[in-house]
Amino acid sequence: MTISMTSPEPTGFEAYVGPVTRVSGSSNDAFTLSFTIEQQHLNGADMLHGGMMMSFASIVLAGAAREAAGSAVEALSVNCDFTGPGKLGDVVTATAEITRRTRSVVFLSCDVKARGNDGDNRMLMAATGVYKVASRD
Amino acid sequence: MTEARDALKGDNERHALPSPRPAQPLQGYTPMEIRDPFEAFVGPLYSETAQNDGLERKEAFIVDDRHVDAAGKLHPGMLMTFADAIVGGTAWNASGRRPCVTLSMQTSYTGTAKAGDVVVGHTRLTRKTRAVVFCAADFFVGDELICQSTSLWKVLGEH
Repeated sequence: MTISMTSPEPTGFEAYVGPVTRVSGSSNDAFTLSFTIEQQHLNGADMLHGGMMMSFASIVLAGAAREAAGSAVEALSVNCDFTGPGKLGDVVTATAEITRRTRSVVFLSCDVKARGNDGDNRMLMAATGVYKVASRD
Repeated sequence: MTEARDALKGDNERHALPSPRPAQPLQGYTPMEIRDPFEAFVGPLYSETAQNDGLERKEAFIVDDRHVDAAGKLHPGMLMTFADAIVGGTAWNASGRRPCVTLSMQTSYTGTAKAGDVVVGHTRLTRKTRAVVFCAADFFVGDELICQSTSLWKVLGEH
């Protein structure tokens, strides 16, 4: 498994809260991103902050939507269900799945999972998103 | 929000955390005391200075270069982070200041914002049961609605 930067190069918010890196696995067309939970990602209970979990999910969903659409996309809706906590040092990954793609809209989902020192792959969040494909005028 | 998770850990003695950027003067608002590292990291965040009942409140942040995407538009992740931070305070107040965790958050985007804009979040309590709190928040830049969110919060230790 090799890791490379996301394309296009993250800037602004995505670079600031990251680094979030692209994971190239066995499947060429899978869109998988990863980050490691650091101190600045935590909440007041020393667990991964829900805001960072949702931010990561939105980075994965938008990146996969952009790749599927072949152009810029804008979030219309992002829904997140929190199923478990993430801990400092966990490696968090999510792979986006395209549910449906029309000319103007992309529907996707991703499961956000964390792998800690114990090697367990725990489910942190299930997210779905709807993205508008920018018109190419 | 801050206090909810401090209480979750049974630790109310945490110090407020500084944000990487200094707070700006914002009329009608006071910089929040932030105890969640990630909220401090994306902050400063502001609360309305006027008294309120804790269930219907206004909070704000000023969009800067850390919060936008490559096209200069406010990143959806920053809005969800802000929503989680401020609606957590509503759940905390509604539950009688009991520790709460986010179960679910639904966010729809009706507009966007750019660096320099002041984003104001209006939060409200929708319904409270013993174990679950339902909250909503609307986000504005000036008069324009840019985002709406609804969320469910679990009051820890209740069922």
